[in-house]
Amino acid sequence: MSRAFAAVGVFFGLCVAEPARAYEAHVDGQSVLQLYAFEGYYGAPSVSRQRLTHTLGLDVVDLAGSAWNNEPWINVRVRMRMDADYGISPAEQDPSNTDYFIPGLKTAPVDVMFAYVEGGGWLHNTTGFRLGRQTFFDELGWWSLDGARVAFSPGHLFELAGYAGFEQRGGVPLLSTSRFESAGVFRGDRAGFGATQWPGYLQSTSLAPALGGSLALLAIPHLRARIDYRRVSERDQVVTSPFLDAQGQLATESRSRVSTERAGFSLGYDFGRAASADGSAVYDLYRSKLIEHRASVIGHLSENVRVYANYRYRLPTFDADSIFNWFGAVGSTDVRPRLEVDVRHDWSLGVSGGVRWYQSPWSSATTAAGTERGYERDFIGGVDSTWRERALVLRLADTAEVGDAGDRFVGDAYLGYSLYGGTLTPSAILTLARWRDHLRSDFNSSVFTYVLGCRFAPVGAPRFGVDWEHSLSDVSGQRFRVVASVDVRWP
Amino acid sequence: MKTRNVAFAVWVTAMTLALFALAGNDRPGKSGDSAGVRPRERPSNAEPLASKVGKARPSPLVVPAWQPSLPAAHLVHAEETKLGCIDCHSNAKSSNASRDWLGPSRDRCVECHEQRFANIQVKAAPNPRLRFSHQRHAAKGIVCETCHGNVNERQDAGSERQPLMAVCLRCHSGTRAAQLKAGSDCRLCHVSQGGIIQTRFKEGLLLPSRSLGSIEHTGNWLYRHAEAAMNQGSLCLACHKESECFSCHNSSLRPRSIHPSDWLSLHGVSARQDGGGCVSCHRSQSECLTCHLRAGLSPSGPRGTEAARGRFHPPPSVWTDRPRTGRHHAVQARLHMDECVSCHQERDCAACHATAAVGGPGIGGPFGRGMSPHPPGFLAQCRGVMSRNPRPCLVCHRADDPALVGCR
Repeated sequence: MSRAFAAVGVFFGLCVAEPARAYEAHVDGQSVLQLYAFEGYYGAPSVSRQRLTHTLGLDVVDLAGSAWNNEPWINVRVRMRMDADYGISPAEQDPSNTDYFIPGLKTAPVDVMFAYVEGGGWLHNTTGFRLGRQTFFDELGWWSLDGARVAFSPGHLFELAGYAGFEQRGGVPLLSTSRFESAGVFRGDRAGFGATQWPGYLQSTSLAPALGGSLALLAIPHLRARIDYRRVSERDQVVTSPFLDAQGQLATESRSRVSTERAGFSLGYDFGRAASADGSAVYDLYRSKLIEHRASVIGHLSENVRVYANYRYRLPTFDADSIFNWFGAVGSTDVRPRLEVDVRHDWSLGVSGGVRWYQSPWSSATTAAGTERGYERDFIGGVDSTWRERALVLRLADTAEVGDAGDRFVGDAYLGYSLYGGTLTPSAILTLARWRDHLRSDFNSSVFTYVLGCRFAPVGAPRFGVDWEHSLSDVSGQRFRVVASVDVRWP
Repeated sequence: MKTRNVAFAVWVTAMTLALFALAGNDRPGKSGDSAGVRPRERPSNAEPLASKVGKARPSPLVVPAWQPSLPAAHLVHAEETKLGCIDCHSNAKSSNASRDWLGPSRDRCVECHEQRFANIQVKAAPNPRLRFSHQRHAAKGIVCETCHGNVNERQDAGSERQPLMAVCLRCHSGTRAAQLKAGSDCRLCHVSQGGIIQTRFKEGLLLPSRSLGSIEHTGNWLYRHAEAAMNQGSLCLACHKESECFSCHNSSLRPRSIHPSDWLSLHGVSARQDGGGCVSCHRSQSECLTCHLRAGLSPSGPRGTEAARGRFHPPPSVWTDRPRTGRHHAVQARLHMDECVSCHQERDCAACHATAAVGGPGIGGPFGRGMSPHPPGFLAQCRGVMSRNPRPCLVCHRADDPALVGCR
């Protein structure tokens, strides 16, 4: 791993050291310090976060030629991050401390978020490629791959793409990482673990082969259509039952098996300047179920008034190694209309509504005590408005979600004012929220939070930001958070 | 309790309206002001501006607003003096850059209008933020009218009369782009830096116009952007770096536009209301589970026992015992499995649901009743699944369990 980072470092150096070539090189970085602590609902144990995050990105574009000249082009893009949490205690990283140990927890993990070479316009402007660690965002969801993708688009009629490689997997505890992690399985390297220790932490050291492809229609103006397919296999030897067998061992499974296999389809059309409509569906071939479908329509009633209608159904789906697929999870259906008005050139107003419901196949089941409800409903409403003057931004948003799972009422006001031509921007946020947990009424709470911040962004120099956040809650008392950030960019 | 909630909602709404009422008193009257550019950070789509002047015009961020010193009088020149475009715009066919001044020079005007225009100062147009070569287009035999339309019908000129992007897309998109070898990369015309179109200018933010259909970045774009990214992802990358996606989806900083302040308190109820939304950014196991382990919320973490930290879920009479209500864990788990796995691991479920043969209590176990968690029709679903991945079956069943026969 360290060799890989050294190679990336050398590459950065080489690219930045020779600015006289025709290509463009850009380096950007961000450092963020976050200090906060919070207690659980029961008091201790409290969680202390002392996060220091460094992100470094490099883009080298037009290495071979330029799209402007209709030439084949090559870009290189790399981004890496170290996300340290100095609030982690040694006990939490000690496998022998069964009370506090948390699998996979590291103080300062380093993550290569993406690192790839990409090209386009090759073979008479028909072929493009991307090679390396890359992210996908398509109907099948956010996903990452170490491998190669090749796309072929003859005559701009369609684009046929295929990819193969290995799923970039393995989340980092406590952090949101770029690495892909299937829901329902907690995976990592079990080196140093006893055979029966933490059976739910599944071994993940073998590469997970992945392949897929897509076909997108390009030929017809205003019409977009696309199909996607992806399959990932799992090869690690993992524990099955968490119970010891007659020999005092945990049974394992090591055969090559499906991890995820899905296909998706999307279709959209723009009806001139008046409206547009989109829809998509995702089918899980492992579960043989339609796990997601959505549709949206936008209509322009006038130049300043727009209406939206969004529909979405989603069935929670987990990695094929997980038992949770088979516990009868029920999908949720979400319908949200919205009206948006540009009242004036500097003032916009939006009104949203909607309903979300979960409907299970057991809704008709009854018990001696009455009906066992197999559904839940949430009603959603919201008003938001933004007012922008040259130097001032005022944004207000009220949202309410009321339903069987719980109720949330949140009012949020943001005020920002730019001074010295945007060099200095002090800001303030006030939030008033009330929430009710219908499972635990003793968790019901009202929260008031204020955030005072300032951004200092001199031209051609690093940008600095600092925020002070103070929350007062009738359940969890007071909380404080300090956030400081520095952004650098070259050139 | 309900009365309090209603009162709270009314208060919050009233607060919003009151603030706007106050703000409205001080606002300078600019209603209907369609000229110039919008305030900083204000979306600067071409079409909405165009509508206010009654005709479409290019975004002022791309083609800065400009009016010529004199009326162009195209009609008079074309019909009465029979001049062609190139007679006045003499550089048009040889120009290779959008910054070139292609209007008539004062000397050119003076050739015919000696007395009238001898002292006129020709005001050059500000540089457009475009890459454009008239020479390339002319060399392909594209005549002026193809892009500029029948200018003879107009007297005026200026930035509002420049071609719209929709005109460019007639040739620079779809199969026509390939036939004409015109290219369809946005960077062909738009000024880019680092392979990304420049969108941030001191006058405002350049956003996709409505001529690009559903990707117009209107008010609730944040809520809608996923669909566009899913089926038009390559279009997004014309203006956005991939790292911009990561700044929210994989962020070290909480995006306040998504999560309001003190989200730590609010997220529990929100996750149960719409857990599907959480997993688009958060990893349910390594991120949610480990934090809940650390906070003592998960039964596997520090003080993970009820004796040590009290009970998280409702009391057994509601959560596990019969009769079952909507608050029973069986119903809640079916509805909110996404949220269950943020604290629980398989072992927590298997402890009650696994068959006796693998070490669980099995059917007829200590709770004295059938414990199969599978939904109706499960047998039809599971058929064939085992051959693709037997692992989940073997968590609760032994390989030789007769109950699995129907799944093979």
